[in-house]
Amino acid sequence: MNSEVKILKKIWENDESATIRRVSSQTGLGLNYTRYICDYLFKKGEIEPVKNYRDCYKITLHGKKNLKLAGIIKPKLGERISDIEKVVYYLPRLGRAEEKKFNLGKSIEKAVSFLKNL
Amino acid sequence: MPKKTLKNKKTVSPVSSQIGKGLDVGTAFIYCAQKAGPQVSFKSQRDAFLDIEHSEFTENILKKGKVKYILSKDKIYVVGNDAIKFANIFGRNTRRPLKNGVISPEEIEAQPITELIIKSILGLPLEKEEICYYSVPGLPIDADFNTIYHQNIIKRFIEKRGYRPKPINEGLAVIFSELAENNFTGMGISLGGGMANVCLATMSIPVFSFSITKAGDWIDEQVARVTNEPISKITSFKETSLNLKKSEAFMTKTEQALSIYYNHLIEYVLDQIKKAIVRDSQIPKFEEPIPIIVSGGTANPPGFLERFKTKVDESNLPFEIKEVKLAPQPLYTVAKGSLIAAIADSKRQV
Repeated sequence: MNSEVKILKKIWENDESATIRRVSSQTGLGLNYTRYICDYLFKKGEIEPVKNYRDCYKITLHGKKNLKLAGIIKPKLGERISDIEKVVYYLPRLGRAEEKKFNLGKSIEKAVSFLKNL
Repeated sequence: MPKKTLKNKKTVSPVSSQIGKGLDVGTAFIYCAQKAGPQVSFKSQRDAFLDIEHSEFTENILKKGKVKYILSKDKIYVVGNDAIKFANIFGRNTRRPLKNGVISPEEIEAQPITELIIKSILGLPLEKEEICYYSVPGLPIDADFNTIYHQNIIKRFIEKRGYRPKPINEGLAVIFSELAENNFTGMGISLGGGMANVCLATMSIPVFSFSITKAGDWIDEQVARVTNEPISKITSFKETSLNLKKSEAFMTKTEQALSIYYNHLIEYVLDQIKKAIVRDSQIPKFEEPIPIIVSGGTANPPGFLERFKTKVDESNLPFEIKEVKLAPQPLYTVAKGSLIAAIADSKRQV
């Protein structure tokens, strides 16, 4: 489980809102690191700050949806989850492979003509 | 101010690539050969990967370093040449999607990783169903498995990319690559990472072929065990710094171990060749002595050919040998031979 999901899960488990300090002590992650991740989750829209409470966040619908997709929140019977990821591996382009060039054109043409004549 | 016009500017038209590609699906590396005019380009990717715990911090480091990786739930997979660099940094061994020349049954991620590597070096076909010859190992004579599953899985990956795949025995690919002037008659030996492949052919028709499951990886594993070093470190040293011409008195512990296991591997390969010839009663009587061509990454270190020749002289093979040669580009020989087969096949169909 990566750090973002860990912290999001803790916020959800603490009645859907928790302070940074509480999340940090429950996850064992450093205070500053927890603050950094919470800031990141807020930018992603998965949590939002609780009004009038400093360093306190509550989970949003988007955050809960991601926890469902991660299998942390089990769906109720009859509830359908859309956008389920069916493919485990993304297959992005790997980028350019190492390439070497040799002047073998003539030797290949020769070999091909011998092969055709056999 | 008058505009400058470029006079006598030579416009170079791009050389068009020839239809047909050759793919060497090796345990250690995967190579793809393609011809464009007088040049042949060889693309390569190491057949290895490393898994790291996912965190955004690690992901950002990989992005900044332009390292190729795959993201999957809670793991990051570093694939290809970068995998061994990271493995050496962390003191770990890379994971290999192929083992002993075939798709590894022990690696859950073997198939998607192999597919990704093949996809990245093959690229898109030049025309619909462009011919692609891919290397397959011979039937192993010292292990109890066959290559049917592996051959069909690789075929499927290549078909998915839009090609028409055809298999070619790895040893035969060596003969196609280097024995054109000998009428494709002789013995081709490919000493790769997972397997050593041997093929004896007369006028391009295989007389016999087989594979042995001891090769470069076996040497690395044995040396790592006796020197108590990570396998990846031994592999890196063997590929970059090993010199078999060096006097034993000046060798380090690792070099001595590598030298010993290299000798053993050469003797083992030649012994199996002798047994195969004695076992197979259909060996033709050659009118002239035949050449032996050796290729593959395991045959690449300086001094290998001299050792191999010495062992061939000592082994008294039951046929006359014209010469023992190392392929000029040992790493690319199988891909080159596969390319020759692909181009010849595609011309035959025109």
